[in-house]
Amino acid sequence: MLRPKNGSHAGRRMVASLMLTSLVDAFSILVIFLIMNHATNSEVVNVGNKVQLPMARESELVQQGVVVRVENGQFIVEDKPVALGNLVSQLKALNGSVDVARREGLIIVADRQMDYADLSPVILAGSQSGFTKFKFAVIRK
Amino acid sequence: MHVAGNSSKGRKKNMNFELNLVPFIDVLSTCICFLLVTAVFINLGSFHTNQAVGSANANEKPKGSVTVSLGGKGDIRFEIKDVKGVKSAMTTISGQNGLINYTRTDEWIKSFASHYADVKTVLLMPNPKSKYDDLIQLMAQFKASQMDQIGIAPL
Repeated sequence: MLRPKNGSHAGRRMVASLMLTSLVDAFSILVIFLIMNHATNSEVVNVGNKVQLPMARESELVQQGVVVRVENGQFIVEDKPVALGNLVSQLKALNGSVDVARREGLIIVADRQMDYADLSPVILAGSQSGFTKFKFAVIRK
Repeated sequence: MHVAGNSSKGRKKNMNFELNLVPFIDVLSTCICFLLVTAVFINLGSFHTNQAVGSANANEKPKGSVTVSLGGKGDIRFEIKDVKGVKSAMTTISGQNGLINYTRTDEWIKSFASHYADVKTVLLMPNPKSKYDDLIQLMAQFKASQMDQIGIAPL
């Protein structure tokens, strides 16, 4: 509430009102956008800090699957480090225990500069464990 | 909200009402803060490949396919199998400074796909030193030309 300086108009009051309608519109649009963005990211894959995924245009959305990360020669299956010798048995155990939707897909997360020699054991172990679908994680352009 | 009730003195009803938006803004602000913290702005995608498990019928006619072998110096060899009317079954594209020449490989793939649209099967045979990024870029080029049945041979 504002009061004028002049005493002769002491009886007048000036009220400044804040229009909140535009603010509510902006907030509503922002909330709707964030909800839609949240809904389209169906699978959260832990990529790791040091891994730079390759970028590609022609890719599909990541769906459910068993996640295998390859970092510095180490294999991390579902956020648990696994030795190379135990990779097949671990994947076989997962293939038998998780639900069907996840069983069919093996999501491979690796750095873009990784040699194929480091990646091949995962593909071989996945095939031996019964996984038929392999999904290579990329960043969509 | 303020609505004037009926007055016995016959005055006009005051139909102006006020809607208090402050709690609504509080709720929206809370929702925005929560969604911003949990939002993932990196759009993750995936390339799907299928690995054969050995269930192919022996009596099935072999389908046409392309085998892509990656050499050590960025060289790529395309080998076409079981495709009728193919003039040259093997094509080699040399690398540039040890790197794959993606421009020429893209041209070859598009040209092949335009002539033989029913061939969808691709088998990639990398060498131990092939980079993961190179494999992804090659798969992307094949997918862009509708050759989406891609398999990768393990070492």
